[in-house]
Amino acid sequence: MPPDPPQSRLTQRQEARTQIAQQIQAGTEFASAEELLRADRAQTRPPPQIETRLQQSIAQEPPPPRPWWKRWLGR
Amino acid sequence: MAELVEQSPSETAPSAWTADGFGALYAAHSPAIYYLTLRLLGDPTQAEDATHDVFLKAYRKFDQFRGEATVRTWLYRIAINHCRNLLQSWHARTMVTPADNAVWERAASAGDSPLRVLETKELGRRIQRALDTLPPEYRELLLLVADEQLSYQEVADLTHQTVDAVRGKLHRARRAFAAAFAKTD
Repeated sequence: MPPDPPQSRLTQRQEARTQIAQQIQAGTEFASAEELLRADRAQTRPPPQIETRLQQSIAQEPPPPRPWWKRWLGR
Repeated sequence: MAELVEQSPSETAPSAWTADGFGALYAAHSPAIYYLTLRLLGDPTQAEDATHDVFLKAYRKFDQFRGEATVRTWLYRIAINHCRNLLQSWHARTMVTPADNAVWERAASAGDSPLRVLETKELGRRIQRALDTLPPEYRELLLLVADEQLSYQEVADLTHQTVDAVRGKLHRARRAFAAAFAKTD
């Protein structure tokens, strides 16, 4: 049987989030504070309005200066 | 925490909001930065503002990014400084005195058992309540170490201490968090 096609990173991340959510729903025990915080972070997404606001703010900004190494190399 | 993560810093200055410019940088790092600001500030509206401000600062200062750290570490540094400034001004206004660290070392004796979670809905609120009771230093350490993309060395650099100090404080922070979390049940 041919191997399954490689999954995209996005799909893998979504699956990991679903798995964490299922673990929590099943009454999981977390071994450490970090593990618990990772589970919490996996189900906390930044509100989409931040991106919209940021795009508007950036549109009003002057173009940023070139990075120091580009200036140094004269690129 | 994950072992040392090799990650090349971006070599191109994102000059505009494009899929491969600043938009890509935002997409890759905004979940981590938003989560950090949310749990440090404890308020979703403030975290929204802070995340916006952190990325705007990063956009303005991208020419100062020298690639000595990963982009993520650099963004974390901006975010931590931003949140510290906000918290400092709030605390100055409300005259809140943080608990002595020794109090947490004494109170954390029950913190070795696993952390049990039964209700997803309440998870965020319980975590926030537990974090809010910890000294700011412990809160920052736990949140940074929870990011698998950061090494202990990077956490040490971000918090201006040695790796050994991070390990020592982290042990106490875990116990203090576990004790505080158990009380939120």
